[in-house]
Amino acid sequence: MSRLSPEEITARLEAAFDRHFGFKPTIANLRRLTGGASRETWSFDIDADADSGLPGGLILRRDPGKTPLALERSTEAGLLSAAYDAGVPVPQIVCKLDDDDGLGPAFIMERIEGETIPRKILRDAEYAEARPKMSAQCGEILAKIHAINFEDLGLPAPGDAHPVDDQIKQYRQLLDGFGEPHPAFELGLKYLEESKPPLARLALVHGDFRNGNLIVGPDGIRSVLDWELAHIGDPLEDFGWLCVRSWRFGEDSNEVGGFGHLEDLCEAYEAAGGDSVSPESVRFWEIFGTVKWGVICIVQAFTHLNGLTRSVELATLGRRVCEMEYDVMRLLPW
Amino acid sequence: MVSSPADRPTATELIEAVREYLERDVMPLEGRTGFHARVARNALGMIQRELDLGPGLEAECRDRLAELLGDSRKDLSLRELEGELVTAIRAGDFDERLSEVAECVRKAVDAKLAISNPEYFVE
Repeated sequence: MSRLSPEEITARLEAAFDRHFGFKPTIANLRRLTGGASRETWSFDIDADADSGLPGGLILRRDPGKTPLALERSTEAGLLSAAYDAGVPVPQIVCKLDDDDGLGPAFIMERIEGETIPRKILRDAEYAEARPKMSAQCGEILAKIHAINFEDLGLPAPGDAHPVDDQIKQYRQLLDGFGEPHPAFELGLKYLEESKPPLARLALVHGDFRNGNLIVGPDGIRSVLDWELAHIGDPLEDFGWLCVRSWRFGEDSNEVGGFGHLEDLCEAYEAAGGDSVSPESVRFWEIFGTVKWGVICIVQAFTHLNGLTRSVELATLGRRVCEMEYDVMRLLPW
Repeated sequence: MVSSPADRPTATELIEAVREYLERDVMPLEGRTGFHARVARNALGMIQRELDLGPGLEAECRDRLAELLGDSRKDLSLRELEGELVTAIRAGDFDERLSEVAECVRKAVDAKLAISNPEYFVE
């Protein structure tokens, strides 16, 4: 599946509604949203009549090409449904598209209004009252996600080894494959291998739970997006990832997403039924998350360099890799 | 300043011209186009810093790493030396000297960050 023009997408969306719902709406205000450099997210409106039960504001998620390290669209859609049922704030899936719709692996979901751009969430006056609440809200949401039964979600079952072992192996292979050695990440992986904490339990891990994947209104968090890196693993992985410095967007003293503190996150998590989490135990997963984000940036840069998706945004991600190397070296004990 | 037979504008002046265009005409646009213009403007900053600092920092990093890895490695490129270091770390060859390795790696990372995003340094 390749890139499609807005006109082609409009035509295929109209046909898809005809196939799945038996009516051809007028598609209006189709625009590609910023964010998700390699996978496409389009926003559009339809003139749905009240009988159809469809919301007027919708989102199309589709893949122009194959992306490593990410879930199939159909698995992502299934996860969203399970999260919705568990009371996690997520958009409701309206329709899963199939091959005959001609849009590639794709689905349509309701559009939830609000802000996702981290710098605005962290600095605009509109969100001043939301910010102090968000760390606790994250704790509550994570407790719900980590309580979801992950057996029937179509996610690969972890082997007998510690869940971090497979990921360390995968990141080493990726790093070696690009022919650009990164000694800082090798030191990080060595530390992770030698210091892994005992696994308390397995859970559904969101995998990309961070500032930037949260829809925020003046009232706080309205929705959790981007489930494509979800997997079965240690629930603390989501805590570490949320604290990775990149997601603080310059507000470094607020270690949780640039908006809050770890104590509030852990307290709310426990109050919502999650396990007791000590801030110290999050540090291991913060190092893990920092290495992971570094590896993803390399993968993204090579998506551009190999010609799969040419983009100045993807290209410059390659030059952000040293930020994660810098953070890893600050976090390591040596 | 890069040595080059080209006429003015110099590389630096050309970068400046493109940057002014992006900031004035493209960055104010809504959505992806404006966002990508910001990304492109930042990339121009990286190119300028690389022109200014790249050769000097590369030589320093190379020499430091060659010293860490030993005399027999002194003719290798920086990339080759980093590859050797990765292999040695993975094999456990430096387990007794990890703080020395970390010190060397920190300086190499600092050099890259000075080019790509000096605002990211803490302190």
